[in-house]
Formats: sequence, C-alpha cells, structure tokens
Amino acid sequence: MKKIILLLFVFLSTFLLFSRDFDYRDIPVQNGGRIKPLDSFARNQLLSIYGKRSLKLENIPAIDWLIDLLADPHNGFNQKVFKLRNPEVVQSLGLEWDNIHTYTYHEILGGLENQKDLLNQIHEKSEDELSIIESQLKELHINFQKFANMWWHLKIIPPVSDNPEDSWISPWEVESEQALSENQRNLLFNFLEYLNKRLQNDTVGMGEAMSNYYSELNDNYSTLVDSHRLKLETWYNQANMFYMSVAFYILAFLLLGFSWITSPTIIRKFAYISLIIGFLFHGGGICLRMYIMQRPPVTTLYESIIFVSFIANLCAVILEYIRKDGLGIFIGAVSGSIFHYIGFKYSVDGDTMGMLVAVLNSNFWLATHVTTITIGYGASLMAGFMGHIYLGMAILYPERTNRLKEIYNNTFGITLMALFFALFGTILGGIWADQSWGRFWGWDPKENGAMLICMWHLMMIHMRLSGMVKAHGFALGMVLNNIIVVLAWFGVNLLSVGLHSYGFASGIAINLGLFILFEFIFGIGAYFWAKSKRKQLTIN
Amino acid sequence: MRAIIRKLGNPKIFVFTIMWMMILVFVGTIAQRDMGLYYAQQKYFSNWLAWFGPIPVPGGRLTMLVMFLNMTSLLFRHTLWQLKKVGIIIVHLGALLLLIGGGITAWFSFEGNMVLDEGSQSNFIVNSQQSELAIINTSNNDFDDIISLPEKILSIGNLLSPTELPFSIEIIQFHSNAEPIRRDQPNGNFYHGLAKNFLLVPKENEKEAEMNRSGILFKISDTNSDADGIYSLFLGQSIPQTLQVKDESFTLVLRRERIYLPFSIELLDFKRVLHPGTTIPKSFSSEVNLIENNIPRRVMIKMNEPLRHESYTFFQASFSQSASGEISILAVVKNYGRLFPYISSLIMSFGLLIHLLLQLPKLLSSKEKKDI
Repeated sequence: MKKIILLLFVFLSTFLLFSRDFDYRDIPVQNGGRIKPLDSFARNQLLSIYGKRSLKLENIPAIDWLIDLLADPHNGFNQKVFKLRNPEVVQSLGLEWDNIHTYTYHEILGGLENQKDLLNQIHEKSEDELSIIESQLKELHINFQKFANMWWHLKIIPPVSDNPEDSWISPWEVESEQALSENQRNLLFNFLEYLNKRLQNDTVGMGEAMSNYYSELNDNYSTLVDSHRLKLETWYNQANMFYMSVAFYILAFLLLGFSWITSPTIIRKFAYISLIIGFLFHGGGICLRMYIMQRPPVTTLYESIIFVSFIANLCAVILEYIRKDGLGIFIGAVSGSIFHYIGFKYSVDGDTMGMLVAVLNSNFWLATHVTTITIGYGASLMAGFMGHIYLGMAILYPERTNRLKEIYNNTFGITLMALFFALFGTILGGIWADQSWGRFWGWDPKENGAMLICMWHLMMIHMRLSGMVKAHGFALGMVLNNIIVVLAWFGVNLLSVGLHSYGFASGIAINLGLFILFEFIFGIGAYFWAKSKRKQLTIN
Repeated sequence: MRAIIRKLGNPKIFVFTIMWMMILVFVGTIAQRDMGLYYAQQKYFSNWLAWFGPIPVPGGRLTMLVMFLNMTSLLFRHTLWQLKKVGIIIVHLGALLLLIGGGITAWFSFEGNMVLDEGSQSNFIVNSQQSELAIINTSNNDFDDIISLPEKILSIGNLLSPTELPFSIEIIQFHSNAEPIRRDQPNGNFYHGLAKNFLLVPKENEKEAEMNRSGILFKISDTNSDADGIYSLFLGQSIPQTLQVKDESFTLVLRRERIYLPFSIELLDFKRVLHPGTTIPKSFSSEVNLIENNIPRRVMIKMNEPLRHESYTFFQASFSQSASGEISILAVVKNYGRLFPYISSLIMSFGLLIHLLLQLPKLLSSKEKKDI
C-alpha cells in the first residue's frame, strides 16, 4: 500500500514540475466552438493538411510551422506540407508522384487551377455521390483554402463583451484600426510584434512582446480566458500521456513474460508496478481531458475507447492485487495495449476535443448515464477476456481443476459486476430519454444494443443457474459476449439510424467483421478442444 | 395448480424467452435500416405476433408477457425465500415492476406533436402517425362543430352515419400513403371535387411515418340533393372540400389526428444558440405562454428541461424555418407509467448491489488450493 501512495506522490509531483510561464504556444484562439491554445489549433490544422501533428522530415512541431507560416507566408508557401496519399489525385493535378508525395502551396495551386470545372462539379454533388478520388479532391481543396486563408481562420481577437457565447474575430475581419477597442488593439499589436521580432530572430524582443501580450490578456480578458487551462492543454498535447501509458503496458507484458521464463516473484512485482504506472498515466490523461474540457470522462466515441480500456485495466489491477499470480497483469497489459492502439487510430481522424450537439450538452446525464454504460462495456469486455483465459487454460492445463474453478468464479463475479453497470446504465439512459424526449424506451438502435448486452448477461447467468451450461459453456458465452459488446458499441453507428449517430465511424466495418469472425471461431473452436481435452483426462 | 406454477417459474423458460427476445431485438434493429424506426417497432416489438416472412412468431408483447408470468410464478417458489437470496428477490421484484410499467405505457400512453409559429397559439396535439377525417359544420357564425372520424374506423367498406350529420359516409378506399395523379379525362358528374380530376394511387409507407400522406375515397349519400356522390381527400390538400346540404354547410378535411387540450400554448420566442464560431447547435429553447382560463403563465421549454402540466409533458423536439419566422416543434406525451422505470431501477440496482456485496468476496477470492 505504501508503494502505491509513493507512486501517486511521484506522479503528482511530475505535474508540478511542469508549471511554467505563458508563452506563444498558449495564445488563445477560438476554434471549433471553444477557446483553445494556439498549439492545439496548429496541431489540428497540420493534422488535416499533412496527416500528422508535426512536420516529420524537418522535425518541426505544428506550432512553429504555424507561427512561421503566419510570420513569413512567402517562405511558408514554399514548404512541402500537402500530403497526398492517392497517386490518382497527384496525377489529376498534373504533379509528379515521388517517395514523399508532399507538395507546396504553389504546386497545389497550379494543379487545382487546371481542375476548376471538375472542382465546381464536385462541390455541387452531395457527399454520398462522390467517388473516392472526388472526395479526396474536395478535401484537398478545402484544406488548401484553409491553408491559404490561415489568417482568416485565426480568431485570436476576443469580443468586446464578456459573453463567452460571442464570436471572436480574426485579424482579417478587422475593417480598420478604429473598429477595435483599445484592449483589442493592444492584444493584437503585441501578437504581431511577436511575429515581427521572431522574423528578425530577436529573442529579447520576442520575450518582451509575449510578456506584454500576457499581461494584457490577464488584465482585461481573465473572465473569457483561463490561462492556466490553456497552459495545461498545451502541456497535455505535448505529454502524450496515452503513449506513455501504452509504453508501460507493453513493458509490463514483457516483464511478465520474462518472469514466466526465469525466477518469478520479483520480476512479476516489477511487471505489476509497470502496469500500475501505465494505469496512472492512463487515468491522468483522462483527468486532464476532463479538466480542460470541463466535461465528464466520456462524450465521444474516441473517449469511450479510452475510458473502456481504463475500466478494464482497473479490473485487471484489482484482480492482480487479489490473486497475485500474473493473470491480472496479463489481461491488463494486453487489453490496455490493444485499446490504446485503436484509440490512436481514431485520434488521427481529427480533433478529439470537439464540442457537443445540443441533446448531448448536459453534463449531468453525460456523467451518470454515459459513464455508467461505458463502465458496463469495460467490465463486459473484461469478463469476455476472462472467458478467453479460461478456455485457453482448459486446453493447456486441463488437470488443474482448482485453478480453473477459481478463474471460472472470477469470470462469474466480473459478469455480475458488468451486468450491474450495464443494466443500471441502460435504465439511466432510459430516464435521460424520458427527461428529454418524453419516452423511456424508443427501440433506438443504441438502446437496443445496450439492452442486448444486459439480456446476454441475464441469459448466461440463468443458464448457469438452471444447469444448462457448466464452466466451459459459461466461458464460451462470455467470449461470444464480446461480439455483442462491440456490436452495441460500434455496430449501431454503422446503421446510421436513430438519435445516437454521434460517433459515425466510416471504414470500421471490415475490422468489426474480422473481430466478430475471430471471436466466433476462437470461442467455438476452443470450447470443443477444451472439452475433448477433459474427456481424454477422464479416460486416462 | 402448484405444479403449473412450479413449471412456469422454471429459469429455463426465462432463458428461452430472453434468447427469443434477443433475436427479436437484433432483427428489429437491423430492420430499422430499411423500414424506419416506427414501422420496425410496430412490426416486431409492439405486437403480439411478428411475421418472419410467412411464418408467424411471437412478437415483443407476447414474449414479455411470458417473461412476466415466468417471473411472477418464480415468486411463489419456497426455495427462493431465504436470507442469502434477498438481493435476488429484490432484483426480480424490480424487474416485474419495470415490465408492468412497460405494459401501462404501451396501453395508455399517448405521443404527439405541437407545431407552433412564433406568435401563434394552439390548443391541440397532432398525432403524426395517424390521420382522421374531420367534418366541420361551418353554418354557425360563432363556432364550428367538428366531428372527427379516426383512422381506425376508416377501413374499406365501413358505412358511417353519425346522428349529428344529415348524410352518411361509405369508405371506398383508404391508403396510409398515397399520391394524387391527374386523370386524362374528368370523371362523371357523380364524382366531386378532387375525385373528379384526380386518382389516388397508393404508395409504400415512407421510412419515417410522419412523411406519409394518407388519402381517402368515400361516397356520400342520403343528402337528397346533388351533393350525393363520390369524394376524395388527401393529407395536406390545399383546396378544402366543401359541401352544402340544405341550409347547412360543411368542410371536409383529411388531417393528422388531433387531440384537444384543456389549455393552450402560445409560442413567444424560439431561440437556437450555436457554439460560437461554428454551426454546431448548443441549445434550443422555446419561450411560451401556458394559457389556462385565459390567464397566461410564462414558461421556458429547453432541451432536457420539459414543461410538465396536468399529466402532459412538453419537450423541445425540433424546429424549422418558415418564411414568416421560426417554427418550434414540441413533442407532447401523456404517460401514466412514467414513474415505473424510476422506481424499478432504484429497486433493481439496490437488489443487485446487495447481491454483489454478498457474492463478490467469495467469487473474487483466491484460496489457492495447490494443484497437484
């Protein structure tokens, strides 16, 4: 226990070490409906144009790319930042397809000029009529305009009023100097001064401009802008907590494997510590996001992945604490890594901190219903994972009956827990629906999905009760339960009907299909294999 | 009797019913993609019998009834009433309550819409899935006398002759979704109004039931005048059908079913707030006057914050833009079963929690008996 407290202390103190002065990365911008630091803005812009959050070849962070582009457009327009992944698109723009297939503003401009008629036609079509190449061209065109008009998108001048609902304006929207209030003018002037000094490589001047900017911001706009939160978000962007987390999960897995080969206990303990550190980074990342967005942990599909994985790992950490035999480490490390990997895939799609539409914009219900149901998903998957372990063990070591019985009991315990959260979460969802649409239950796909999970658990529990399944059958049921969970979680978004189409995910259908096929074959196969192993054992 | 209860309370029955329910839910959810939520719900869930192609199978209602009987008889089992099973008993009681609530909602609840222009008021709710044939007696200058015939009784061949009317109506055709198509040549003199020049062609139901435009063809007789004949109406018709019988005049409309309220609602202002600098809606709200006995009271209806009044609940459901201004669409629900889920979820969670607390320490422990 002392160790855990010590770990927590070390973890918290790292946060304090990073408190620092306000700098150019933290400059507030209004974008996507909220105030964010320039750093986040730059990362999202570069992500949509270049596909990554920093310029890989020159090793330039997004924020420096943006600032340089603003300070010296002439140079910026000659930078190769437009990444084209499709050779057909490159051909249609009349460009050369090379190894890095990254192009400058001028190159793209020439290409798009030649395709004017095609582009006009594309913009008139509706989204689902577009072919792949057409939609890529459309995306490129939009990105190109965004790049060319970066100053216009840069809403860095706060409104005169203190109302957070009011739109900020960009320097391009300013008609004349007189249109601005004195505070606005000072803020903008210091920002431009900073760019100016940066162009002249005048470090002292840069620092001076920035500190003037900050005191201006702090004196006059403290109601609109929380500079501490801006700094924290910049730090969050850089810290890559989830990368750290996955690194420790993998380390835990390697150490565990090592402990199986060599002397067990001490190395296994290190593996456990590594799992816990990974888990703390994981939780820390979630807490930071909650603080930055001032929202409960789960509001989007991306966040649900991160949070489900967090819950599964919480179960794993507790399991290991009780059992102390490496099972929890194994489950935690493997599931944590897989989920983080899926999360990284998702985060490439764009801004992971978007604003919510009106129905979802209710912190109370997001905090209760969504969090509970997501915990239900996490615990269900954990029970499914235990089912895999049980069947695997039953094939490898059919003679260890006591050990198997324990795992079976653990699986059942987690299933009960999963049922509790899934059922409670589903009913809370119904109550939310009753509060906002006037019906408790509307047979909407997402509601049905959540109910399917509950019903599957109820079925398995009653099958066990009435003796229709024994341990092997129950484990199989839990493996198949994973199929139900992913269908409820992602599958219903593919249906694109109903009120829950908030996280529509294109292109995940194939992965989903593969996963379902794998679980199905694994479950059935392992079940019969394990049964035949047991038969052999009784014959011998 | 005891033997029957014993058999009915078998958990195996529960396993099979819930398996069947899962299949229904799965099929019913997938079907929503093609037939829309409303019709899939009617077909699979709110029905005693569902049809898989030509084969009749138990629908959602029947399945849930079996589940209900199964759980009720379980409570008569003596083996259940033990202290260590107290959590389980509570959970099952809660689940029973949830099913009862579902039943009450299914039988007695009512859903509809109220569509309001800014500045206008209304004292009725519209059921967007059902139509009615309204016959409005406009002879009196001070008030209109309305007789409405609901969709239920508008079935083909029905002869309707309400005592208040000086004529009788025979339904020749009724389509829940139809399209008027102009005839090549006008029909004979026996055909009046729309029926003279147009033919009603039935169409397949739309995915969203509220997009349907129903149509009707009927015969009016016993007026003892030229007004006898065949008439036709469809939903959303721009020219109303009028009828003169002796000294009384009538207007006939096919419209969405209306339910009148004992009070009215006036829309003062509809507001839509966007997240700043984006097109993502942040909130919708309607500022209304609730007018009862001519006394207005100001109320704000917001997303997630409905207005509840006299067992009716008004929700901000949707909005649209018209030439004259914004239109707010309120969903209106009257439901006597709405408190059941609240109570039963509390009971069920409580029971499950007790059961978990009793069971988990045993299940998660690892009294390691060494394998040999």
